[in-house]
Amino acid sequence: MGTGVQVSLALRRSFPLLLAFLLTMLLLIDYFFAIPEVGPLSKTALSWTSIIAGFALMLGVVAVLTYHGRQIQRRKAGQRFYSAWTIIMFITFAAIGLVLTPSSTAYSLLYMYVLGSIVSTVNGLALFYFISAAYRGLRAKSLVAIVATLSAFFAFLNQAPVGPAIWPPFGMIGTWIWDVPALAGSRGIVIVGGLGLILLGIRAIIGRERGFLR
Amino acid sequence: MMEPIEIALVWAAAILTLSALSFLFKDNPFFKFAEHTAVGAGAAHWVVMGYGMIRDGAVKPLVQTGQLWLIIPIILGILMFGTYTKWPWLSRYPVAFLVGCGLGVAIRSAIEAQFIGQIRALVLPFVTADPLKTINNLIIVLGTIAVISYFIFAREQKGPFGKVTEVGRIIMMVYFGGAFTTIMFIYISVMLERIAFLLFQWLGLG
Amino acid sequence: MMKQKDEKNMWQRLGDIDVRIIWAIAIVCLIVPFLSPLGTPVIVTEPTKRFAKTIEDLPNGSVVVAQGSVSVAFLGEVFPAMIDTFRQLMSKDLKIVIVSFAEDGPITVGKALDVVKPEALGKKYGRDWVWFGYIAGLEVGMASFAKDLRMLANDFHGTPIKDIPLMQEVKNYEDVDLVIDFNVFLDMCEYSVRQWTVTYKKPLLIATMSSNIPVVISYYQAKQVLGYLNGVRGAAEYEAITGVKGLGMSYSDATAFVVLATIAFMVIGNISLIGKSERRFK
Repeated sequence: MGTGVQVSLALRRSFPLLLAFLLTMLLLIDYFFAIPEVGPLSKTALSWTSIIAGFALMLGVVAVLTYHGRQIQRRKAGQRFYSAWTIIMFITFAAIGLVLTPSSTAYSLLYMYVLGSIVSTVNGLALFYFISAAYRGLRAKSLVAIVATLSAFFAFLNQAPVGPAIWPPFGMIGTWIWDVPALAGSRGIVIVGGLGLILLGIRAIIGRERGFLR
Repeated sequence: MMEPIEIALVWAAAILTLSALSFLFKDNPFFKFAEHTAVGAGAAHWVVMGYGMIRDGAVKPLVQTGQLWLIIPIILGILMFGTYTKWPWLSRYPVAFLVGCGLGVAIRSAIEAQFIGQIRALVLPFVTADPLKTINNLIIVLGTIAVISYFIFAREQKGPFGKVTEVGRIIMMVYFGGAFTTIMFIYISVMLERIAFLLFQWLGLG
Repeated sequence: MMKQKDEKNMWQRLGDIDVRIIWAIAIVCLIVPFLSPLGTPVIVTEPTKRFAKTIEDLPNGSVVVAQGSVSVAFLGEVFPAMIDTFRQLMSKDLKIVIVSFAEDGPITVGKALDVVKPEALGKKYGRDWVWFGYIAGLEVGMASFAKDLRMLANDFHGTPIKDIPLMQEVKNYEDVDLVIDFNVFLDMCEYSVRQWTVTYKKPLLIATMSSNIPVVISYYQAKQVLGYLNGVRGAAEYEAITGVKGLGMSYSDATAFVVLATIAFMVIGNISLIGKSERRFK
């Protein structure tokens, strides 16, 4: 009984952790030590990961279809028609894509004109909220707000060609802001981000990072 | 001259674009219709692309060239769906594969790309013939150090250290102010593309 | 007393304009430039010059990997740059391998190729260029592809690798002379720097959204990225260099109205703030 629990724990937690550790080490050794025998192994591991990622793409789809299937079953007023439409769209696009392949003109036209129109418009809606945010939020209420507002002001005029066209120094100031203080800010953030990634890797190697086990 | 099917697609795209734009007024059935169209079509695209990857990366090489070991990633991929079964722990194996390889490729080169390479670029001369360049180099180096200091949470940010982190905060505000505008420019371009479609392709102006 | 109340209302009104008015003005500013272009001059920046020069200086027969990972959700931002670059690549004597690491990358690549028409520029598919479609796994997919460009059994059209002449010469990163990454997510820029520049020391050019440029600048300054195109503005600059007018110039010109309107609202908002502050001190 005790052995059974131990094997069960090993199968559920320890082995996956060990697998992640071994793969991370394999790739690190391949990169830092260039051992001839390790190269083909890491190549295989990488290509297998892409194949598994292909399955992962489908995983989210199961959740979406399950949710909408339940909405139809529950006969929730209004929503079931939208959910039925979602599934009809899914079947239509999937059928065309799988039968005609995504390289076909029919699929790419359908994708661009239908899905492309919707997602790019919905994304573009954010513009209006940004303009309202610029109007309401970028006000010089404190030192940091003044700094952010001025930076935004010159960055706007530099990024759009109209700024230097109105007054050439707008371009010079904007360029200076990007090339000097903003560069310092972004470099600091990149370095800190890189440190965070390295620390995450070390935690994964020593088995302290178990979030993926949930 | 456009084909009838293309004319139909242009009209469909115009209706969907206007339906999505209607959200500016308020959430409404037209927007919901467009939203659910996108969800269904997007989910289908993920299936189509995932299937293509599995077919071209695993199934075809397995069948055509007899690479039998490709059964392993296929089995691991199928195990991902274990999360919907009585044995959800089965999905930990393929996830471990993804996490292990993902971390391996990321951290091995992050050390150079995001750490050593960036610090090397910070080695700038403090004394140059051009006084403006000298000042700029000073701002870049000291500003970067100040920003990094801001993220040191192991120590209380007060006293002289607090002043340094305050400078770092201001430098980051310059960066964020500029970043705000760059994000806005994306949405300007995206919206312009849609307006151009409505004006030229749908309404035929110009 | 009455006058003070009016002045107070004026400052409040200035700072509290109805968002629907703001949005209506924004819509007008989006439409007007297409009907009446401003024709603002394009000032070409150094990163764009280096982007164009790096491609121009490639010796004949060089192999270029073009990573087209532009999502349809942000089509207007990077698509013009992708068209312009593809046009320049296909106009030269280069070997081009096109691949995507975003799910809808192949769709936007297909649309760009429809515009550029490689066959009309004398390019033969399979001999001069090949298109692999989508590879899953993001950074791992990129790392896997760099290690083995023949990791898939066939190209995007289903042609087996063994039947593609170009892929008999091009096997892995050693055969690649330049990588160009078209993307919309900052992560993709970092993946390319890590997997191509740092790991295999390959020259890298990036065409990406404006929001990613603040970080890409730090890679550019560190010489890990040789040149970049900054969204639509970068495309406009590139068109100014190559002399081929395209979407970049027209979109870039059109941004002027919206930018001026946004700045006007920012100024109005701050005038209202200053006015209210002065009212407090009087």
